[in-house]
Amino acid sequence: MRKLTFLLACLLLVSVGLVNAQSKSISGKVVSADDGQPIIGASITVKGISKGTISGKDGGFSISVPSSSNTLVVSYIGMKPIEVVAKDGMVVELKSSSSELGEVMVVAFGTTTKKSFTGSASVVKAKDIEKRQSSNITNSLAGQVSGVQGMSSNGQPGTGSSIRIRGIGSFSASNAPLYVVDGVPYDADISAINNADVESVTVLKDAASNALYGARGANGVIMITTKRGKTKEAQINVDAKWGSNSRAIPSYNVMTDPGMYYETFYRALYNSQSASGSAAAHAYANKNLFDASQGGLGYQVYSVPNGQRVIGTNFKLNPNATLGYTKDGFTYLADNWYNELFNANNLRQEYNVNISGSNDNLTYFASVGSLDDTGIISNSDFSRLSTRANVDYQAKKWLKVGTNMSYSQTNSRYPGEQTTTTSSGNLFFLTSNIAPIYPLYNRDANGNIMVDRNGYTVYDYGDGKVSPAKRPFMSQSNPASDLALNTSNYVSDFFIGKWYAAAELFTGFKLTANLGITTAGVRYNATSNPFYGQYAASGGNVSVTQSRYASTNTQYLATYKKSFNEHNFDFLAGFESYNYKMSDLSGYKQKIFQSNVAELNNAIVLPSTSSSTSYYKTMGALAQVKYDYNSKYYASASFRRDGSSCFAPENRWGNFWSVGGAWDINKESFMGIDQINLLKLKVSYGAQGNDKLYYAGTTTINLYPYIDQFDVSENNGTFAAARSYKGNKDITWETSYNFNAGVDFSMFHERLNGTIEGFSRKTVDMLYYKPSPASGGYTESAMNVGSVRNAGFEFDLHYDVIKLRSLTWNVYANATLLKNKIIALDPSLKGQWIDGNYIYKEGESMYNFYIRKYAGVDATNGSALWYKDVKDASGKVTGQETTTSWSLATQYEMGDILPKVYGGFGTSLEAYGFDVSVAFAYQLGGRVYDSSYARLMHSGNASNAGQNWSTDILNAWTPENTNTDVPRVNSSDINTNSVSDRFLVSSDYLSLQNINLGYSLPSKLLKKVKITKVRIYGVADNVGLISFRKGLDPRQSYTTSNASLYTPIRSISGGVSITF
Amino acid sequence: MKTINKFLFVILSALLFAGCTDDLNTAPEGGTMTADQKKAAIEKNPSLLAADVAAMNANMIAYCGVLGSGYHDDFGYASTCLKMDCNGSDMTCANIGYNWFRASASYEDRVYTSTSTTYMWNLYYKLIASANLVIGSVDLSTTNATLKGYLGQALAIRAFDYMNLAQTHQFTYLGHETLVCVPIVTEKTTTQEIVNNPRATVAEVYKLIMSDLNTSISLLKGFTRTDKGYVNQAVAYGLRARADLLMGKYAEAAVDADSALVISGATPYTKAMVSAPAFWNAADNTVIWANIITDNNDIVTSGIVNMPSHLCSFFTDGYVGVGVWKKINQPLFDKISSTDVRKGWWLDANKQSPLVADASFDEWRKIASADGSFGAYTNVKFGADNDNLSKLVPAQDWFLMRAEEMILIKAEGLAMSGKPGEAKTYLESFIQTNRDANYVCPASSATGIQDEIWYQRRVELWGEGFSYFDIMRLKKPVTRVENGVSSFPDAQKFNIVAEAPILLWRIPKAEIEANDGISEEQNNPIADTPKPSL
Repeated sequence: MRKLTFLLACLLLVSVGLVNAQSKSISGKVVSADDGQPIIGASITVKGISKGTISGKDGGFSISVPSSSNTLVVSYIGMKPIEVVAKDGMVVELKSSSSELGEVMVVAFGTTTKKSFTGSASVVKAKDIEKRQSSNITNSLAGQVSGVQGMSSNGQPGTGSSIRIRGIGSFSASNAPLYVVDGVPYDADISAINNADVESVTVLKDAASNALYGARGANGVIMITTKRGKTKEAQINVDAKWGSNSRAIPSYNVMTDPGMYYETFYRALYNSQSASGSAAAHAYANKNLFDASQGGLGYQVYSVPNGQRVIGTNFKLNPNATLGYTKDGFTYLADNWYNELFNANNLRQEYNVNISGSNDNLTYFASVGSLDDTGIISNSDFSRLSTRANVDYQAKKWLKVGTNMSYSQTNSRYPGEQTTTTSSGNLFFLTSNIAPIYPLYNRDANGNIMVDRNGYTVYDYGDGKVSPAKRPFMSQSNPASDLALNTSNYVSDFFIGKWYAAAELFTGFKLTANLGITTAGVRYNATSNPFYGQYAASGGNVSVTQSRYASTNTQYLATYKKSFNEHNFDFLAGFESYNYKMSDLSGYKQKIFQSNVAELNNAIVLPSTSSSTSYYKTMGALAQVKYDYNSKYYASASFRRDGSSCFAPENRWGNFWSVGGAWDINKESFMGIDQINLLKLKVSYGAQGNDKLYYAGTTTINLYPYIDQFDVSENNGTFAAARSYKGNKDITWETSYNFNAGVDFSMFHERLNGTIEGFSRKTVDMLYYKPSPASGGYTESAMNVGSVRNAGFEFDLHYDVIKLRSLTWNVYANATLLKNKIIALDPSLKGQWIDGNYIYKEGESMYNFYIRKYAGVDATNGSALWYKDVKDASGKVTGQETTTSWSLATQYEMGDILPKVYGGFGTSLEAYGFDVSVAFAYQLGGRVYDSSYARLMHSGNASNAGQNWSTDILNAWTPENTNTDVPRVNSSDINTNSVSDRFLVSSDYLSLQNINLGYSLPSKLLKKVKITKVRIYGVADNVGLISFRKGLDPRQSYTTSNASLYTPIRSISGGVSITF
Repeated sequence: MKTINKFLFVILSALLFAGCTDDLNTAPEGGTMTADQKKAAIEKNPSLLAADVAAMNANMIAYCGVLGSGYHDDFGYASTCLKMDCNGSDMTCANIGYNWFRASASYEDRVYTSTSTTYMWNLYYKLIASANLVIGSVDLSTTNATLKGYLGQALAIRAFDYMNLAQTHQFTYLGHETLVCVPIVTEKTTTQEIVNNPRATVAEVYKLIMSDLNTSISLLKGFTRTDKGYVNQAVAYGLRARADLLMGKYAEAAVDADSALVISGATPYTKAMVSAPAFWNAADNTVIWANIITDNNDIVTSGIVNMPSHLCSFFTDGYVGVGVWKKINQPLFDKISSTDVRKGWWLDANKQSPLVADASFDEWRKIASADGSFGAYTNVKFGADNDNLSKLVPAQDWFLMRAEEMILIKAEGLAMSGKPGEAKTYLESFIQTNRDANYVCPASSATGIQDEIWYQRRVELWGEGFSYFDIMRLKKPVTRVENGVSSFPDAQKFNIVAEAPILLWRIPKAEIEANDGISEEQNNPIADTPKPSL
């Protein structure tokens, strides 16, 4: 590889300045109509014969024009292409246009214009990306374009969303789209890419668009294209913004009054013994209320006069009770953990500078960016320094070379466990669920928060180690203290480089070689403190992991353009190979000397080390032909044959293909309606593959699903090789057949633009784990079987309501209607497969709960009721009855829970220098299991002691309140809030994703100081969410909502953007 | 000339690029190992075949090998022992969220979608599969001594696992021979048969157990093992002694138990040895078979996903340190004679025990006492690894068979096969020498002695995973509350009559879904969880 780099570097250095002149030609110049600056790199072709050149120094070009044609077509990315009559010495003015029709868009292995594109793709442009302040570009896509859904289960800065394009097509394999950055497949962390460097994000949705990435394109392709130099004059952009973060999703309505919690818990204890008589039950409840080892609460935070009860036999807090209880030199007070830990205004700051332009035959873009996002809890910040250089050089008339290189360094303090639902280290879980009776801090006899000799605040771990009190809920845990005293840090380096050389051997025939290299090194250092908490007794610990990711991608492409009269052909043939290598090395030791040094030599006992390397390779040959007749009828066909290292040699190769066609009706003579600018019908069909089978129940890719796998471990000094995975040699590609038909239109002088499409994506030979009886020694076996269809409609509309020189008002809306259906399962499953709380059934959605049905409350005693089938002797269901036993209740199918429609809408207004925009996202018609709410509706059972209640529990059944659907609290009930449709609620939501407000200073003023543009702005992200219930965030997953995850961040910033 | 330049450039570039490509054959390095890689390594070094045999041991102590990470009760066979002991009447633990075995104490673990039910099934069948892999790879008629050793071990381990399954998923052999038990999977079972594999009868399962053990005993004659983690002929005899007892073949049980003792040379712990916390070292002469656990095993390095974390009171870094001290139920403790050395295996009502009276335990007592749930009846039987209280490593070995059990089987076998007098003398001699000098066996009838031996087993083998098997085998009730006395948490204070349906583990739902040979109706019946009575 070193040789290769050397060669290209030589080319860059040596060939400067060698430009061949055409002898018999006309010359001209391309300039921008906006500012009169020359445009370098514009494409000039002679109409009808696809013979062309590129504008060079000063926008100048010369081209030989045959006598048969005298019309030149001049185009440039972001500009409106025009046709002009060739004339020596001509000056061609290109207008940057809001028109999207002729705009160049990036597609697989090349570019096209929206007008001539036969596939389905949505583009998010820099203008819209810049509006969002996310540390990860995947978070900027939700609601922006149709067909795309973003699920985010982790709000930690730097983490992204799981993007799903047109539904879910796989059971056990990855549903993630393929990311392609500047034409090179990308598997590293998306957060390495600075949003400010991105020119566009193109989402390829149908077969015709992504067949050339066929091998891995079954779930769609997201192409990220970075910026390039556009203007002759160097342009410098400076953007700076400062803001603050807060928690975007509020907590559920939970109890905040300690007295209310004690009263309710007392009643739960009482109710569990009410059969023994009122006196005995009161005695039991009073005795066990504070006894954590008997299912009680452990902490008393009220003082009552001697001999009096805290909770009276009227179930009410003693009126003489005062908050604060002092015993054994400690004062117990209840703290509001939520307010203590989430009120901080955490800073977010971001600075970007870039310079772009062109010179002679060279275009360049260079940027540097700095981001510091402190998240919403302490020690969870993400910072990124990024640099980029994109250079294209017309080395010879026939040879163009270029490189895109970015290097970024990220530093993420990423506390572990913040998305591990029931972990004692999860601050979100604890603050969402801890009863309002527990102190956050240890307080001395005088009620002052204690500080230890190191100056550390002494937090209450509830483990009896500082004060003798013990919590039944998450004892030995205090995430606030852990976050303050433990460290968890990822430092990453990302290098993403792409080089290319394109040689035009003769007119229309071009050979291109692309090389992409991505290397990421991540070093993780973490300590657990030796002072407090779980690891104090063992003296703390340290872990270090070093991992290295490297991928190389090589592509060789040959293209040939040829036109005969009105027949235009475009051929492409190529070869691509991709190599991926991932290695890691990690070590762990206990007992640390310096509490803040996260290195192994700082610790002394129980060392453990491990390292491993994994590989992945693909290789493929591809071909494509595109044809159009007079820009009226379009056709394309592509084919790709791919091999993946994930499959056995005999099953390794798959064939993927597509065909597509389009008809620009507006070009027909019978049309000619002034109000219509574009009316194009398009249709495509094709097949793409997926080779990314996960290990069952994980999201770790199984790189060798075709063969038995073994774990080697030590067994008292000897090897033990235990089988960890049962392989299936027949495993091969999962294939998606993708049909798309739609219409692109533009009307009223391009003021109304839109696309309406219908699609059907059928995945066959699905990679999935067929459940296997555990008695065979393994619980699943990988197979290619079954099929799923995602079918639907989507539309994207943009309307310029007002389009005046000094006032524009635009509205947009998009919607995707989607229906998911299992077409076939493995025949041995006889039409259905039940997997715990889910059922997979032919003819039904893949997202179908199989859970018990809640039947309300038995009014006589407050027990929860569920439905149960009544069966006759032969096992036939004859009816339904209710039961108080959750275990005996029947599980029922709940039907499709996926949203029927999702999308986004928004508007933007620009007037007299002011601009404002808002963006919304929504989904409708689905359901989600509200697991956090279920947890907050527990019965007061010992396993829930110390966990908070939703205030809805106040409506629980009591002898006085019998007309309710909330069962009694009763500490001997264990299944009251077990999984049932009681907690299956609407997943509809409307979120205000983003607000932008800006003012650009008048250019007259700025001209004097030689500044092109100054914009002062305010921006807010994740502004608000309306969902079924306060606290519920249906955007985390298709199935469940969980308030125990790092919540999304609301960022509100102000900034200034200056262009010189 | 110009055109030539262009082509030259292209050809040159293509050559350079061509060097970058390779074929698509890749293999992992570290992490996991493919069957091909394993085969190649064994071809180069045939002694690595032993790794397949050792895998049977490794699977018994695998870290999160059945349920996956996040399940802190997924640490191998010892976890099933704790589940079963928590089902019984002799082990109590606080009713708190950190108690991973709480569901076993309350019998919520019988819900057939629960992880406990899954664990009690999947683990044993996973162990059977690893034994079947070895059995299938060795020809039964082999004369190679090493291979005979491998096969003999695998057969014994398979018998051990079927015995566990048979005792947990159906009532005991005697009187229930014709009831359905568990599906039989051997090395000969095909993948087609696995998905349609009905429950075999109790008699059929025991037939396989006996046949495997008989073959194993003959194959392991003269086999020398590397350490006590492996099965040898003594272990196979010991396992057959257990099976004999279950099948009512009492005379054979006494003979086999004796063979296990003689061949292993194991002798019971002396009084002195158990006058201090012990039961952590497989090298102790009492041990016939054990899971040998070393410091760098995954369950040890996990810190808290291991037996000591849940059971050993000295491993305060684990779950015990946050309140899940395993304690003896007071009625049983009260029964133990004060002259019995075993009385000291648990703290008394005043939190005292001669085992931890020494000043070297002061620091431990300070840490332990800081936990509010620590207290009376907490066990101090299971000692810290290497007896080292200053460097806590949860790497204690887990005993699978020891001399005392064999002695008690022999005594029971004698008593029940018409030699109660001999049995009484044998039992008294053992207890007097090793546990309680003042001991007199209070019974003299066969069943009276059997009951006395049951009591001895409850005390001697407390916490080692035998109590539930004995309740099932001897058709005893679960008696947690005796005369109103019980140290179980209030919510778990209930008694269960002998052979109540709730005692049976159910076949997991996932098995029924995937195995056409077993229907919902053919599962063990759903039983309501017992309700506490104050």
